[in-house]
Amino acid sequence: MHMYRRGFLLSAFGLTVCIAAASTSRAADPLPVPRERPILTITGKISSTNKDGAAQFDRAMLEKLGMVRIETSTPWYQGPVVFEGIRLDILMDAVGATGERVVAIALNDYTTEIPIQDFKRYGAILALKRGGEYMSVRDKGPLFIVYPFDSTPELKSQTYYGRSAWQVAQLVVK
Amino acid sequence: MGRLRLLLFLVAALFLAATFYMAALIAERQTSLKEVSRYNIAWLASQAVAEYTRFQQRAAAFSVAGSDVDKDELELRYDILLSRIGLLQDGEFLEFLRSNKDASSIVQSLGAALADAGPLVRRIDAEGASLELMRVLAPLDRPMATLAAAASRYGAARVSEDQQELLRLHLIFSGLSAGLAIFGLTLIVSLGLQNRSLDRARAELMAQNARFDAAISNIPQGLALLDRNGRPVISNAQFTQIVGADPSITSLAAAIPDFVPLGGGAMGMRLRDPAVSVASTHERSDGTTLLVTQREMAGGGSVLTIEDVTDRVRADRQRKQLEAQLQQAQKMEAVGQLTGGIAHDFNNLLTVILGNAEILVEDPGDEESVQLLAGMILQAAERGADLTHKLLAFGRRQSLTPERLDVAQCVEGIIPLLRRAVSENIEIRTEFAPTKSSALVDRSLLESALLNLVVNARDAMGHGGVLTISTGERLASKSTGAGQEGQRVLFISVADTGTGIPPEVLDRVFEPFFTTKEVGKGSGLGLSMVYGFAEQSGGSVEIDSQVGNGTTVSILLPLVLTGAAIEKEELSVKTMSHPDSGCSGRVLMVEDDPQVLQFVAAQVESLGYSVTSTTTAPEALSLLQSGAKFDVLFSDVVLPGGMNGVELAQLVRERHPATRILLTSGYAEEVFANFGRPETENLILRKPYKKPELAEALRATIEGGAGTPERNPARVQRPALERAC
Repeated sequence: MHMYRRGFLLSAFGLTVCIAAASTSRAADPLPVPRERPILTITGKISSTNKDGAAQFDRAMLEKLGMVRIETSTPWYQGPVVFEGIRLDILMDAVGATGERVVAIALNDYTTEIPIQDFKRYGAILALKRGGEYMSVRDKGPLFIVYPFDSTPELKSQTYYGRSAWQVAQLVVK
Repeated sequence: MGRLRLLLFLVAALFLAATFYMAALIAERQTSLKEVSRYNIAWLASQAVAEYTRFQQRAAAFSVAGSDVDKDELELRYDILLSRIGLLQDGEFLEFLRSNKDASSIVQSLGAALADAGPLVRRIDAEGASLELMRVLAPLDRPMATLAAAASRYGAARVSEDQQELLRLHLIFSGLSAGLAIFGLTLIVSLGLQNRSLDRARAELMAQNARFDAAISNIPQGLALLDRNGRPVISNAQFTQIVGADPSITSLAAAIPDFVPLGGGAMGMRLRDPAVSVASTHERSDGTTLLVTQREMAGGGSVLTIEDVTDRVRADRQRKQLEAQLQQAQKMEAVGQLTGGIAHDFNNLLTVILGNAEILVEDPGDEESVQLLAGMILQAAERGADLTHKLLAFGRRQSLTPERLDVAQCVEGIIPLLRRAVSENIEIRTEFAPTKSSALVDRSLLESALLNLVVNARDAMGHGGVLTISTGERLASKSTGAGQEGQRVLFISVADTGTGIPPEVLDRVFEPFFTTKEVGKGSGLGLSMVYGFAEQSGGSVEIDSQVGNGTTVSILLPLVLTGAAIEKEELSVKTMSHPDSGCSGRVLMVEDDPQVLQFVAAQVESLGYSVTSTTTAPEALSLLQSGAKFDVLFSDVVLPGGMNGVELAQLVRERHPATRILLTSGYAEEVFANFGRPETENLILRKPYKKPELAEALRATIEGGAGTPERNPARVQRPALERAC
């Protein structure tokens, strides 16, 4: 357990260094303006914005950040499910987030607060696809915060289930 | 110790294993603990209810004029509501539905109702669609609430189950912790106990070591333990002292000639003959003698002791010299004892010879009386010769060859000699049982043995008593050299009525130099000589003694058959009278020697006195007691039967003052030393005396009466000679 965690932290550190190098160059670029209808708005302690102090993203902008794939079991579906989406830590770097917490706000005004370190630590993603298909609102889409629950037992708890917000529309960095 | 260590090791290993097992258990339980925290499905139901309510509210608002709710908003809410209903038909909620049939049918009817609502939402702008939607949704209110309540109950039950599981795990961990604690405590206590017992064992070992050291350093010998190679491993100070300051191999070899350093460069030493455990003595050039012992030890190596026995060897030599000196001294003592007695005997004999010879010279008379007188001279001279012979035999140094002896005769022959060896207050009795057997012994040694026994008996009877010498045959009470048990043996016993020997010393009396007598009084060789004699003669010695009742020592000898018989002489009281010349008076004579008695009585009678003869003091006393009147008591000083002449004189003077007293002795000094000099009124006539001296002494006694006392009787003798009666 301990060894696992240390190994994880080491690799996370390495990853951070890489990402930090990448994000510096990307942060230098001004955030492009979404061409399609934006599906995510990020506000709060961020340095890169594209509209009135907020960073708006359409689906293509998000997918450009790099899609990753997670296969995990959840309380909400029978059996393991494949999710595809972007790493939340990469997204935070893309907007130059400097806060410690992120408040996720869903379409139904459900809010949940997530420590930013969760993103790197557990590799949580902002999923766009489930089972290879884009998720609609009816299927908890369009954006769904997913932790790789099967990667470590501690994720299988109410805390992380609660942080897994459905139908995410806005993120506020605090 | 090894077993305890192993046990401790096992316990520690068990403890370690238990710790690992517990760690593993906790890790495993941690996983399962997290897994028991199951998803709260009540939240899903409440979400569905909330979104249903919101959708209903939006639908109602849509129909109200001026409301800001548009069709997009309504469709979004519818989609969200559908996603929530979809959650109720998938994942963990299905578990709940499987356990609750009512909830399952509610979800189905909800799905169906919402499917009906779909077209209405899409054409919500149409006339009446809004109201129609309200109507479709209205019946769902109650089932929604029921579903939420059931899901909440199910969730609560699951939480309770989780709690139970947590409690169970808590119990398991508590038990494990307690077990581990007890285990650890036991380990600590056992370690402590082991430590204590180790401490105790170490203390005991140290004490033992100290005792061992003390023992080694306090033994008188020099001691060294040699290892397998002969190297000294341990040695004490005494060893160093004898061998030298540096107990190295070289010095050891130099100190003890029998030790040589081992060859081939090997350090160590051994006895020249290493084959056996040995003990040997070595005289060194400096005059000291060492006793060296070496004993092989079972585990290899050996124990070497060296002892300086110079003093012991010297003492041993001195003791042997002293033994020889003592033997000589004992002989001298015996000779001394005999001298007085012999002088007495010879004086008696000389008295007879002188007297008779005198008569022959003065007035030989007729042939018959010459013959009688000459016969008496001859007899006395023969007795003198016999006595001389006995003395010579006794004094002979060389060992004599055994001869057939009539034991009783032999004893009888030596009696006069023995009599001289004892004091006058001891009566010697003899009991000779008739026997046809004789013994094959060395006469002089037998006599010497008898003398030794008699001297012992005398010393046991300091205040007088009876000494009985008996001989005869009897049955052996046990198997001895003299004969098997029940066989007939010859015995010579000497019994006294003395103090007896205590049982604790009885076993030791035959040991050479063992003596209970004062220093200078006895050599301690007497009984051992008797023992040696008896053993050498094929016999044995028995001793029987009781404290206060006297002691009997018997020499047992093997029988040698013979035809000889023994006769004994007996003495009796004889009264002689001889009417004669000038002087007159009644004389009571006491003299134990019959020949002397006969001769002197004849002389006294020839002087004109009437004579009554007795041989013992009690006899004389009883005559006086019976009323017989005597003018003079004429008594020998040395008398048998428990009363000597001095004592008799004292009694007679007290009881019969009319009777004058004249004592005679050739051996009186010792008696006087023991009983005091007689009163001055008693005259003493020294033996041997001639007839005129006798006449003068008798006359002076009768005439003197209570008159002219003389201080020194020895001086009156000579003037008395001048005046014949």
